[in-house]
Amino acid sequence: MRWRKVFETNEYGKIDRIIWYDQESVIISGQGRRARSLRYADGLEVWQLAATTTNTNSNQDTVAKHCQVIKNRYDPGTIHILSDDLLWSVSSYGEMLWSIEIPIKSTLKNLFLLSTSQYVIVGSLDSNSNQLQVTYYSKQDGQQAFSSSLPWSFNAKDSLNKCSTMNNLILCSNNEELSIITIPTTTDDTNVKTRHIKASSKIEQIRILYESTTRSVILIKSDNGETKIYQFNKKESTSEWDFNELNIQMKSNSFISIATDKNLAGQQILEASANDQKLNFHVSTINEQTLTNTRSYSVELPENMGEIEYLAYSVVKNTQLVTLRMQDGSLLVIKLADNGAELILHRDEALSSIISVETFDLSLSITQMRIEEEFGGTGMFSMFTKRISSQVSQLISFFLRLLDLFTHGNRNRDYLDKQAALVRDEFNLNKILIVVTSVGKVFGILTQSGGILWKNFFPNFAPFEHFNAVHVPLFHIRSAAHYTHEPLASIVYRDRNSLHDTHIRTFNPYTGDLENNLTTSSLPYHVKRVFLSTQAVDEFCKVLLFVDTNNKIHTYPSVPLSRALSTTIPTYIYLFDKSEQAFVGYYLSIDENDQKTSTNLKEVWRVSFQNEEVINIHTRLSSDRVHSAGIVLGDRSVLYKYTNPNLIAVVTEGIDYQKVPFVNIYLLDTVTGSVKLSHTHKRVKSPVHIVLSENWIVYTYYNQRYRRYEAVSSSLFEGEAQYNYSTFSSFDPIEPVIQSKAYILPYGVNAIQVTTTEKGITSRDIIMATPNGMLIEIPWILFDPRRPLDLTPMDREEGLIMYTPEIMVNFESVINYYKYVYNIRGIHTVATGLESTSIVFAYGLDLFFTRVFPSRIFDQLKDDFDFMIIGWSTVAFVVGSFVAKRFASIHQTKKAWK
Amino acid sequence: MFINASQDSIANNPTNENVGSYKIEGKITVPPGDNALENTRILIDEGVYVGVPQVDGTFVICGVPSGSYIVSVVSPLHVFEPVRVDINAKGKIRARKVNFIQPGEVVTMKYPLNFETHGIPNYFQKREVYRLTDVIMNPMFLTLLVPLALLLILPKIASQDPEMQRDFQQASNFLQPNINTPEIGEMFANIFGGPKKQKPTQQQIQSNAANSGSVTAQQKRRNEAINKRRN
Repeated sequence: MRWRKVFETNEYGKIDRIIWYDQESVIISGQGRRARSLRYADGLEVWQLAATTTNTNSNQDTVAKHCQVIKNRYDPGTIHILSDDLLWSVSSYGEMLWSIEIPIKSTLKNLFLLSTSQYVIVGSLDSNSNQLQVTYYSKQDGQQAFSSSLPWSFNAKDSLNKCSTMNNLILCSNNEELSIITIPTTTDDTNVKTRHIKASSKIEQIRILYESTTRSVILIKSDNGETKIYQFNKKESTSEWDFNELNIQMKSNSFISIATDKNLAGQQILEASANDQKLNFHVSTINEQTLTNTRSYSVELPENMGEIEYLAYSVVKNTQLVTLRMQDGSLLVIKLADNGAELILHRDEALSSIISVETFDLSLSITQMRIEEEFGGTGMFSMFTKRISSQVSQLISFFLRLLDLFTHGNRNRDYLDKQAALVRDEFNLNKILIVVTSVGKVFGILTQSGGILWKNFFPNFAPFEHFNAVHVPLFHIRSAAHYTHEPLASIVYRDRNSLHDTHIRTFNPYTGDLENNLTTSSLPYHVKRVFLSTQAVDEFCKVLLFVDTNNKIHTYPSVPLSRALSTTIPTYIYLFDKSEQAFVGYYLSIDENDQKTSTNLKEVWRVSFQNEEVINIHTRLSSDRVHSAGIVLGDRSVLYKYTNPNLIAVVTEGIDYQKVPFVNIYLLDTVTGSVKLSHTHKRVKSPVHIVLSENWIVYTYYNQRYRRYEAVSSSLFEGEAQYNYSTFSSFDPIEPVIQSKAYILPYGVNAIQVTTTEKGITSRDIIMATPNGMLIEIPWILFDPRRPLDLTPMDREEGLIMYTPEIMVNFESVINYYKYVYNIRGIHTVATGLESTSIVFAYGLDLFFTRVFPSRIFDQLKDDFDFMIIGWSTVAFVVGSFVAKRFASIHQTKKAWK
Repeated sequence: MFINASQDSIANNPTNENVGSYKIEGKITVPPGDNALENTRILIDEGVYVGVPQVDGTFVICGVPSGSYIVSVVSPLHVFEPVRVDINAKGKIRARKVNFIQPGEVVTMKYPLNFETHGIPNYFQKREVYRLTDVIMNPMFLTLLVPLALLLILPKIASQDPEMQRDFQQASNFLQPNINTPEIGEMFANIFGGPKKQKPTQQQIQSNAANSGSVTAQQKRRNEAINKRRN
């Protein structure tokens, strides 16, 4: 890849159209409001222009903005852009030619943009009189020349969906008929001509395959799968067109693209279709009415990629290249040559749309398994024999390995490395990342190399909606701890076509192989919420629990609820009711002898929000560990943490009676429904990013009043005494003491997360992804709400830092160094076998993986630790002491003889 | 109707609000010869607008409505200081220093903006290197040094000055330890020295020689006295 430019993530950066020139390309973005030109050589900008509007208080209604961009066929250096009520023209040299605002009328909707050698023509629909008003503007200066109108039978929405423009033609499909409306190009001739093409059944799609000033090719697709291609030829010295059908036999799922080249006599037409793991191409040359020189190619794809979504065929310097985007987000470039087709590029672009991430430990090696077995026996004698036999076998395998090393040397090192990649290392640092993307492709990625181990594509995939985001539940059904059984992971998703159908897919995270016993295509109920059972049922497998729309709970696979959930600890479930903006808590009563596999839920509490909308919730990581129950203060007393595992953070947004926008943050106990913390921030803009861990919460937002990004940190404490030191219950009458502080952040925030370690002894760091491309690691101590305003010796004893409103970030805490990553949406952290080390995986447009050491490397030697020096110096000291002893004795003897 | 409109604007609808008619201009100055411009981006308000520099380092961001913005230039290879740009309703543009703590404070800067590199960001901590001076200057080492010096120098001084020697003799006589207590040195000598060297006179000497480090000055003197007597 030569260069890459990342535009805005908002609507303003959305590319409407790219017009390619020889040296640079003009990119129209932001709904036709901005044009910029980038050079091919280095990606630097040549010019940038934006449309100027005076009316920003336009009466935008529910109809989405509509934008059309065309390159003038008669003058390729001119681009005309119609953005709703604004019409403007730019030249490819970066000159704003003219810009006019079309008078707004609420009933008038500008729909079509056409261009001729003299005029720019806008077709606007007047919904009152059902007429299409055709207005001619001069191409030179944008002056309105004249206008005419013609009867129009479609409404605005249909016109956009069913009509296309081509040269001076508007093509509209009306059920089984295609209307071709010829717009006159000169002022002398005002005749609007309409002609029709009949199709055998309802027309689904019209696509313009090729367009030039004299010749055009269109494709008409009917809903019975029939595809027809028409060729249009311009009549000499008129603005009218002749058309004829090309007789080409096509499959229903095939795509067509046309390429022209100066060296080619006519146009070449390419038909492409996907069939399982195979792509078939047919290339022919268009002659008057028929196709000649048809050649067929086919390419075997490395995996199932679904259907073709986009196809472009081009001939570059006599090389025939086909570019495809597949349903699974893959980008393919295929070269067609005389000796067949060849896949020359394959990129998994789906990796930029990750929505769920889980990590799996790698499997134990055989020797590690033997060690596990070594301590497995029950009786005294059997334990003894087991230990002896396993140790003997370890010894034998050690000698075998030595022998292998001497005899084979490095010859099978590669093979061994490959094997070793899938086996857990000594400290469990390397893992497998399972990522689910929004297009339905699931990847298994090895963390040590970033290599893709396997990929699976689920064609009918649609994610669930989760507040304002999309979400795919991904669960550990069986962890890697049970070395006799392979681990299993499950994803739950909706059907793309019928959104109420829920699919469950269970697979082995090491290989991606589907486990067919635990895979189903549809559940007999509509799923509202899914979660994992607390107890393993059969063969160490956990089961999935579903809450359906009737508030009934089901298990999958069907097992009695009493086996899936603990009967001693009561189960509470919370659900969110979007229509009432309320959280509802339910109690699930399970009888130990009950064999029911589904039961109804009993409502126990309800928290509803008025005049504010819940925009997001945040739960703590399931791997969150709290090591110490309290903080030792400077005077040697203990301040106990309020570590409630049932808390969730709720973010709401609204406008108060003074029309001031606000954001509220709540900590909600999901067992009792009580609110433990509530903060209101006025004149604050979401997104609010939250980290909830141990007894504290850190969240960030944008302060509109002071125009800066801020973070608020709050800690909850039980106080000087602990209510119950052994277990925590939400029903204990504890009122947590809350301490809070706000801080100013130097950068904006895209995502934040906290580091995770195995036992939670290591101090916590906050990992923050910023819009400028950095991943920053900030110690939580800097966010500590107990940072004092003036530092007393007691605070110093405790190790607190004095409060400063700004959080200083120096470049040493940037963990991605020179590799900036953009548009990060989430960060995933996992503990490793080493207490000091946490794994960080940031995903979004880019992916980044690293390890962090929040408390430095306290449990391992530095990587530059010199074993040789230590070894040799020890040897030298031993030898030296013996030599010295010898010399000393000689010396003493000599002295004695004097 | 009015409420609807205001709600729309709060819901951050950029098509209505964020497209204006003003432009922010500036120039990025990087040392000649490095192609840092290719990875440089201009962010306005942390990515609400994104700009791409031109070949000569200048940049333009068009279509910005009036308001106050933070313009920051981001490059993995260079550090640039952000600037706040205020555009009033008439289109007058003012640039000032970014001050997050007191957003109202105005320290004006030049406009069109000029971004100069503040050096290369230091992402790495310096690796600790092993140096001899670190070891020598270590306080632990210094505390060891003083007894060592005493151990070596004191007997020398004492042997030169007869008066002091006499004093020491007296002191040592006075402080003569119980002879019956076993000496560490002897014990070690018995263990390491082996049974070959059975000469009782030699034993003590050897023990001293082998373990001179752990022997106190006192014992040493005593041994010397013994040796002298023998001579």
